Amino acid sequence: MIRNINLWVTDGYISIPDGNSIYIWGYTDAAGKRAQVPGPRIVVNQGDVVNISITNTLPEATSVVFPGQSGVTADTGSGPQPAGPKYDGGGNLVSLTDFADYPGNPGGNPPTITYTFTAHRPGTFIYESGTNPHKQVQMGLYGAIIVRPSDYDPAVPAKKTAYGENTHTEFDREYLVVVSEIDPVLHQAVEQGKDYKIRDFLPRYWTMNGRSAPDTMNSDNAGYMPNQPYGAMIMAEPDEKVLIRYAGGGIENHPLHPHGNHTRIVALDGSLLKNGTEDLSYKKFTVLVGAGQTYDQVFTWSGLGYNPSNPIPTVMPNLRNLGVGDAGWTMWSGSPYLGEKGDVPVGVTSFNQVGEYHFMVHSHEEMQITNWGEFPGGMMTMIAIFPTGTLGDAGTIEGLG
Amino acid sequence: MATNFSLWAKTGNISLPGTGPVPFWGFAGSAAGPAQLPGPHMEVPQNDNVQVILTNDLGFPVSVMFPGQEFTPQPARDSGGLFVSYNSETAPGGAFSYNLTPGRPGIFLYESGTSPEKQVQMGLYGVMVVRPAGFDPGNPATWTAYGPGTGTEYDVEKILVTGEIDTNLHQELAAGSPAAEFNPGHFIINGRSYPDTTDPDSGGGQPYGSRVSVTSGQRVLLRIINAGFINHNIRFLGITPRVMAGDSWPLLSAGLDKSYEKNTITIGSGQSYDLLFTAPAAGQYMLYDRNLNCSVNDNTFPGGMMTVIEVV
Ligand SMILES: [Cu+2]
Repeated sequence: MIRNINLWVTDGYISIPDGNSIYIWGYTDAAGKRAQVPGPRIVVNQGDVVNISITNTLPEATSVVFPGQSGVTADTGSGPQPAGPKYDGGGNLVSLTDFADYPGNPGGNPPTITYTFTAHRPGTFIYESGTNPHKQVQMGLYGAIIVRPSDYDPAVPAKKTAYGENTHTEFDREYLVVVSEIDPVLHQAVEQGKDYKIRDFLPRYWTMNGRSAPDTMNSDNAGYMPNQPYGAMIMAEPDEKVLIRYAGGGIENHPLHPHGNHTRIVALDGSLLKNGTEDLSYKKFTVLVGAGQTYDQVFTWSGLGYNPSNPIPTVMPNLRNLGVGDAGWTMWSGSPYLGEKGDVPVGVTSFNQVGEYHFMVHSHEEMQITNWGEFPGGMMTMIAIFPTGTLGDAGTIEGLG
Repeated sequence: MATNFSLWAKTGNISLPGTGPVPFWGFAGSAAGPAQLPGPHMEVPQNDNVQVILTNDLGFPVSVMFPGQEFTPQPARDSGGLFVSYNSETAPGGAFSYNLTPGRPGIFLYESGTSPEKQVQMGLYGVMVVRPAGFDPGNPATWTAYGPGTGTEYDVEKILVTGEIDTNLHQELAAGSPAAEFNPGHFIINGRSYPDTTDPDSGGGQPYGSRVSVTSGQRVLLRIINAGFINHNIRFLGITPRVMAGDSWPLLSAGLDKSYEKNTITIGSGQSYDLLFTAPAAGQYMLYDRNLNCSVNDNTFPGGMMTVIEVV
């Protein structure tokens, strides 16, 4: 199939739970819309010919690189050419790949460009700016591409996989978490047209899908975050295979771990960990999500001795895991119970509406689970295990494509 | 078999984009030759008896250690018994002879073990390449990184040594001041920052270019080794290499293939990866640090840890 995807490169604002509003550059899927972070999810099938056109409205040139893809071409109006580094008349590199100029640049390139590639391999991939990437990627010009295997069929369990039948990558539900970091001073410098000094880079916010905790746990398309449409809460039922796709959208590495079942890494950068019949997937507790890299993992919740005939298997966890604050607030889960609601400590509100069980996933660089130093926040979300039969959706990611 | 190398530890100056001369300390390959960054590549056969004679032309003690090699370092202590160096050092004007027998093939750092927080940052590091048994430089049919059965046959080999430079720190250490804050603004492959990385090999203090020039269809072995203090994320555009070895332990052996493809490779300080790919269609393919604050010279993109794979 041919997939035609249109993106606009523009600016906007995102909201941070401490009340801050951060100027960003990003992608969006319609003319006139504000930019979003991360960029729109792109979901295509293996073998598809993918045409991604961008229209630039920024005050400087921009481009898109597709790490992990091969044979990318670029077309600025005179036909597709192999995409590659671009130099000025003096031989100085100006962009890692063919670019869309800023609108109205006298004698410049057009402000639109179309990249084309064949999605040869399934997996999780990144797309991001290749022009002034030290600034543009950090400002928010990054997103993820999911390529479904050619035999993908969500109606057939053996074919609802990340990498194809018999690759040991079946899943019931999948989640995509793109992590990054924000230095508000640099963002403000761009907003105000001041010098962008990457050497002064000092992030104060850390994000999952463009949001900082606790916004990470809010639903997709939460109305008060119009430019941060993707939630980062991972929800599943007992015994389900859960595929988590991590992507590093920032410029630093982040060690993420769950306070529950460890995950099995099945692919790196969209490359399946399997050679012939040799299964190279491996279990990991803390996954170091490297900048610009992707990690596909599968796990099944098996905590606390749960089984359907024993839906309330637990004792009340200790306060640390409850997340009960010293001012009397409760962070997320007031109850350890699964399937039925139980009593919570006096004076504490339970947020687990259907008796679900929560445990956190966060960066173990603990300063990153703050919003400008205030805990809790930042690169943190929850995995919520719901009672069997209470999560209705199909559990798959939709996107442009 | 025996192979002898002589190194002279000296002062010198390197040039980086947008800077004046930056003082550094490096190893020279001859008494009259300049200090260079990185030091001279040493190439030895596996199981050879290797002697490395270090002559110290610097004004303070210096040493060489060989991380990853089967080699027993002799930590040096001062007269009070305090640890001063990871390995036997030599005083200014002196010389010391190190002996080792590299038991396995691969790519290894050699670097100063004396005040390494200063001396390695200042440039006292280089690479030793250990060739597998049967390797004959004159016979391309024998060219492998790790010997037969390791899947590491290649046509073209390129060594890329990564690092960082804080020019202020270099100025202060060269002037004999205590080490200042480490806040590097220059990021180097083979001692050079982009675009100088793409210049050819040369004489002088930064002799090794990093442009990878190959023909479509050739098997290319990239050997990346991190002599710096920071972890880097080496990103390829348009190419996804296969990781064939980490820290010179091959991932493919009889009956077990643990090699894997990866598009962006996180390489920690002191680590190495051997990457193999088949050169794609003609064109230029960028290789750079996806730590995008290291693909700059100071605050300016492009620069730093970046080079070009040129396929014709
Ligand atoms: Cu933790």
